[in-house]
Amino acid sequence: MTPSPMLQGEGLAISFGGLRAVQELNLAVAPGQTLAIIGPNGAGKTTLFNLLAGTLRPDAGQVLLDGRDISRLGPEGRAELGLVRTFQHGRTFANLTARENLLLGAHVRRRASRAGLPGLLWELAEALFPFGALRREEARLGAETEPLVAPFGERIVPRLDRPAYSFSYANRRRIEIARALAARPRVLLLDEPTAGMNPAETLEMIHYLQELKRQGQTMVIIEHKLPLVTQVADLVLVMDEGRRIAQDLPHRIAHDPQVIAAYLGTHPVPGGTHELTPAVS
Amino acid sequence: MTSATLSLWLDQAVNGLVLGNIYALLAAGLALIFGVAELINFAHGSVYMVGAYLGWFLLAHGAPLWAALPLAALGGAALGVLLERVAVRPFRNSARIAPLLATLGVGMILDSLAERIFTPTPKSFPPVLPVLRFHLGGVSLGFLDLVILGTSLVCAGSLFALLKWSRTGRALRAAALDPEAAQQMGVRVDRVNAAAFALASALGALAGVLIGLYYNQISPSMGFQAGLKGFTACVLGGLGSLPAAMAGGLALGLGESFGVAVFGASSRNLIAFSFLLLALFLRPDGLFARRRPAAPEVLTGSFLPQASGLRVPRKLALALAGAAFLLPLLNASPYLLQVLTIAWLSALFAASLTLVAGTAGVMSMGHAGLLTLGGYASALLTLKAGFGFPAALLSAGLLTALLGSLLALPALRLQGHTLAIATLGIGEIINQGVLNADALTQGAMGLSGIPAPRLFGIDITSARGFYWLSLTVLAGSCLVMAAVMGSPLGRTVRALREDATAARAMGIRPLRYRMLVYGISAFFAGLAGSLFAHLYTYLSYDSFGANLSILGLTMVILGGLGNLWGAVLGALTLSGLPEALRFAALYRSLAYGLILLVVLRVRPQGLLGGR
Repeated sequence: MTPSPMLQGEGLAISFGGLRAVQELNLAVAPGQTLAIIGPNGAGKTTLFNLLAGTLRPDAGQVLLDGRDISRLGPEGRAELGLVRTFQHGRTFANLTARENLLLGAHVRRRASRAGLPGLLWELAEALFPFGALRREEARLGAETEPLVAPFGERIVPRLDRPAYSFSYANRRRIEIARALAARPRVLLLDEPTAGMNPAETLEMIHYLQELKRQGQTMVIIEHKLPLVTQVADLVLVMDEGRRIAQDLPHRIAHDPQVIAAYLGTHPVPGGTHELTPAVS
Repeated sequence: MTSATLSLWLDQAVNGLVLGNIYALLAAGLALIFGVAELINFAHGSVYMVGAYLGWFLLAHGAPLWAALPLAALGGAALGVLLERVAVRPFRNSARIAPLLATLGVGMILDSLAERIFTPTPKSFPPVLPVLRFHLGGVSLGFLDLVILGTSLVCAGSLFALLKWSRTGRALRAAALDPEAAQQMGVRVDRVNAAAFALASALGALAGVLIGLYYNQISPSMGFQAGLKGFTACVLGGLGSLPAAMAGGLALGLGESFGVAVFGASSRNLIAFSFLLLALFLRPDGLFARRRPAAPEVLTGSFLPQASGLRVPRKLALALAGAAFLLPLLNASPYLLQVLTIAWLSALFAASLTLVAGTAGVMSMGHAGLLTLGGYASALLTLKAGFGFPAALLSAGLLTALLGSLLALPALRLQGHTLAIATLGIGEIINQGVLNADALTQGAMGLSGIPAPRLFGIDITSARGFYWLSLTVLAGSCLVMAAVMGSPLGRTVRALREDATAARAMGIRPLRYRMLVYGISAFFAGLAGSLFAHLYTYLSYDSFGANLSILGLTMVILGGLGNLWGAVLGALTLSGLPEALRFAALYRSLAYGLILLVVLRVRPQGLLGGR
């Protein structure tokens, strides 16, 4: 028997005006599993992420985390429950330092992030009396989040106190992924983690994600680059025009005639494995 | 319902419709500029005031109305073109808040010039229209009503025709939909912007003449309230749609008219601005707006660069503070001490503003309303509830924090431009609320005889005593505010300012954190209000008006947004310099407006700003 899914989307649908961006979409991710979502540009992948993370409200359908319906929660509430995302174009807090960005990722783990008055008073107390026990948590979170960027080495570690805008695009994306991990998410949603990275950097990111996977991190990844999909994902979901057109194991998906058609037009091309990448980049 | 009350209500409906048409003209101009230039034009009220004076000047010199109206519109259009040149074009590549603040500066300059030229005393319009009344069933219409209705209908009609069929109109609509694409297609953005400003300002000037005819009286300070009414109409209808804005104008006119019939004339503005907050609370996209898809990937951090650059070393800070504390012992004149006392209290106000504007990116444009809250709280607690000074001071801070953040609750859910307008409305609501709650606040009479502060059994009445008291409160407050800015709370709030969508994805609740920071800011503004009240011993609902809110913003921007030392320096400069140079009061606001424009142009990050 397969374990019950950690993250589930059921019948998700949303339209913008006349455009049906996502239709009748179902997905399920088991604990420790990595699901890759691929599809041509405009297929609705990022919109699906926005629905899962609560950035957008669906017209129909629901999202379940650990079997609990979280459809009514906004992005903050979902982040608190452990559903944390990154953004397609990278959204670090530009004028804040890399270290501050990491600490903000750990926001949901702070006592002060608790809902209601207690959290509010705690936040106020930490701000007004910046010493002793009130700042111990801060120091602990700092020590816990810093190692998250250690695998990226010299590019980030010595420059943790520089503002995020001073880092390169690829490094900002690394900081953003580390920031999401700082929340210790149950499910991590990564939107094109290797966008803007060269082949060597992509390979490094693949190793980083494989390590996360080894540690048991559950992930959903939107990705165009085939090597990452085949080496990291357990399961691949293919989207086109807002629909799920296929779902299969990574090594089989590239041979699916429907997938080839969606990427390359109506005529299947033999041996399509390697044509997938240039057609969409 | 008797026929007498029915006809009363019908009369109010006609009044509301007439007034609503004038508001609709104002709102149409604002919506046009917002649509094309993505900018809230804070000088629009002043253009309207200039239009009113143009109309008055022409009519008083014997011009007939049919000539005065188009001439005033033409004058308005010319002023609009000038406004675009001075306040918008130079800031095309700056942060989006910069041109908004620049129009604010131009508005201040226009208002003070009008005051200089025409004196602050109101002028009455010459009676140019025959006093005729028409009766249609139960409705009674004056000739003037017909002229106003006719003029605004003709204007609205020609505006729509122009937008729909002319080349300029097409370019305007294209630029409103997608400025970059329009530019690619050969539309020249500068010219389109200038055209939008010309059209909008012509409408604004006409509205000014019409209001002059309607109320029979105009004054140089009439623009600010009118501008705010125009914003209210826009927000009521839905920002960015011309017909919706005009419908909002009509709704506002009707609502105001019926409200005045029920609650009396002094409640007019309170009613209008309560509409604003209520509408923002219930329907932030406007009454007539269709549901738009949320745009989660649109960038939000549109405010001025944060000015954390220049840090004042601790030793220098201590030396400066020490010197300030020792000053009264060095034979300083009481006059100098008084000027500096006011500067310290202004600095406290500016620091509270920089906390919320710089750290949270909430451009609070009605911050002086919080001074009113704090001042009245402290005065009433000492006068009526027998509180001692320290307790009253502290309670004033707490009450201001509580009431201020409750009032700001609907506003803080919004973003960018709507948020700026809403905070402006908060300031007005507080002051108008104080005016209307006369059982408690003695209304327009104000509160006098507020006792001097009494600390450790000593009455503080000397210039020296007050100087030390205000400097101590300022220094203590700044230490606390600096701690807040450097705390996890400060970091969280800065993240919200940078990118609210990303912050929410990290589990940060925007409303909660904006409220918290606004509340902390309001606490310190409340302290400043309390000290001002005990210093002046007299307080009225307009002691801390919109001008002071704008002055506070100017101080903060001059010093560098988000920088506490900058706020102190800005306050010291702007409240001390006019005293040092012995400016006539009339030139003061002119100078403030010019300083705002120049700083935005030359050093947008402020004096102490880094990058």
